[in-house]
Amino acid sequence: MNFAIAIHGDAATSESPRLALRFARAAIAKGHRIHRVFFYHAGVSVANSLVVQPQGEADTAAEWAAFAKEHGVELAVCVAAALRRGVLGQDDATRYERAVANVNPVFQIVGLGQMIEAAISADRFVTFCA
Amino acid sequence: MTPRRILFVISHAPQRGALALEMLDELLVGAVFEQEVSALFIDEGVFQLVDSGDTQGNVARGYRALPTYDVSEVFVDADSLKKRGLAVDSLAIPVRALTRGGVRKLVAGQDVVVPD
Repeated sequence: MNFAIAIHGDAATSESPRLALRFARAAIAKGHRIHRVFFYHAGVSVANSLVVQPQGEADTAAEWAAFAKEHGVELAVCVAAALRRGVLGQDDATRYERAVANVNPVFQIVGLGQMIEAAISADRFVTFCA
Repeated sequence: MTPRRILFVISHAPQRGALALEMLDELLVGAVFEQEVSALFIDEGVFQLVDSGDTQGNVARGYRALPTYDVSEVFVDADSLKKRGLAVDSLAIPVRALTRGGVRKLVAGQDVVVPD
């Protein structure tokens, strides 16, 4: 089966990214595919490469990035939600004259249309709320 | 390709910063993609359809745009309205009230359900 996943919470204040990762790992282990993982609302913070986890604590964002690389899974972050929360790619940092770009390059910066496209294309669309 | 039935389920109060407006954005994009988009307001979510006047982030004003987009239908859970002392005619847009049984049927008939 082809899954699409939406993540609505950030790793610091919700279980959403961690639970979604466990779901994604289980799906791949069972031979399913993941069409796209869409980070929306506070979930965009998972793409923020400036987050530093204290030693000994789980780094869910790093685990997502490693998982995506290993299995060729697309991680997509909504541009509008990301701008609101200070998560910027190089183009946006230049356009809005911000000092740094901080999106982890593993993430694609996309529009909301990609969320709807995923909802249309995948067999199942699973949301992990904040 | 036949359009998919996508239901957005709004169950949170509007006072959550940008979250309510972001959900509205998502819903409108779904309609632009010519899918069979509908919305269900349930629990605290029914407050998102109460026009609270000139306050910042009044999402009910945004929901007034729904009829100009191709949003199939807007539903509310009748029980949620009643518990909060609201009625269908006190909401910002025309809605169809459903019983809990009707809500279950609505959700079961969807291809995709997106919660807030």
